[in-house]
Amino acid sequence: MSEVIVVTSGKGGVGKTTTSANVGTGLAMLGKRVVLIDTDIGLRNLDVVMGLENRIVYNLVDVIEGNCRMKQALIRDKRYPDLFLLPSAQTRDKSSVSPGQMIKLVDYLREDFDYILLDCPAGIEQGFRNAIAGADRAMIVTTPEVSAIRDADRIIGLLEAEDVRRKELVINRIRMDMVRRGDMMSVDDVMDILSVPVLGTVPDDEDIVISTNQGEPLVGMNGYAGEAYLNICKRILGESVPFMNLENSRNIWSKITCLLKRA
Amino acid sequence: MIHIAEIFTRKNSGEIARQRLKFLLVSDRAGCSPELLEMIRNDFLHTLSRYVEIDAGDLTVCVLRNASDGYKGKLPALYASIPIRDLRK
Repeated sequence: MSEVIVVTSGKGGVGKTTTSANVGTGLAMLGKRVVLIDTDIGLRNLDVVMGLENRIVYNLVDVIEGNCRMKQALIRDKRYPDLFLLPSAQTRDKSSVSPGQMIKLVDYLREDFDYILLDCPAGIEQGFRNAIAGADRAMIVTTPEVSAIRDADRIIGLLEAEDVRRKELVINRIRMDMVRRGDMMSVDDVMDILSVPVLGTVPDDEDIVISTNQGEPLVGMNGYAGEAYLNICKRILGESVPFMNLENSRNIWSKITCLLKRA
Repeated sequence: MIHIAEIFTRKNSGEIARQRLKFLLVSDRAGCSPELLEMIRNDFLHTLSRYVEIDAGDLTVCVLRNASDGYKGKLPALYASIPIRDLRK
């Protein structure tokens, strides 16, 4: 049985694409057949985060318009043979696709894959409408900031109106040192405000910048962020994984540099 | 340099964010301002206390999105929780 998950947030820059790449890769790592779809038409990015930008021949719009077959557009991942990417078009705009066409495309992919992950564009316009049209389940990415949480709340309302029943939060870029001194909202605060179950929490980790630079998702690697993403994947598969302690997520070096800066 | 008195009186910014969000979301969700809800709440209180005794502190009013099924699809609904202290006044 396949599941279609949309990764959305409302606000831009909170980590939707990074989350999509890592969760997609993690699910493949756990033995699932996964396809990642970049639905941000005109501003494609998922290919770069996955490190597959040089292998694009056809894209999402080509498939929808019938310029190529699905198989020709899907790019197989470098490391996991059961992980595929359907890239977005860079030279078109979001009006080239309709929600009806997205549902058809997603339903076609259901035959072949266990998980279909849709990386949603920021905003609540047509691109968002297209991305959520065929989704069974939504992962709402947010950060512990007023603007990101406000947008997440709006998105939750829109998903409810569209009857996307299963909605879960990924709280990204948590800095425990700031939470501890009261300068950042905690996971509990965010959960309390949005009243949506939390699928995972990801610390603000330098390794994410490094992994994006290299074009290799860090899920499953040593380190807090890599572990956090793998835990999210396991929870998607229905495993109950305890939330990890982010207390020491700022490593010893950042603490020392922090102290030096203050002195 | 931070003044010593400021260190003790300064409110944590995380708490400020939480409070701001709470108010913001009330008005976002309702599509109406917290002031309007406050006015509705006061009118409820005023009208009902003519008949029964009400605890003003426990009266809560909120608007939930997509809560009721109208003929045009989901509509927002006004929810009020009004505990009655004494039915006879």
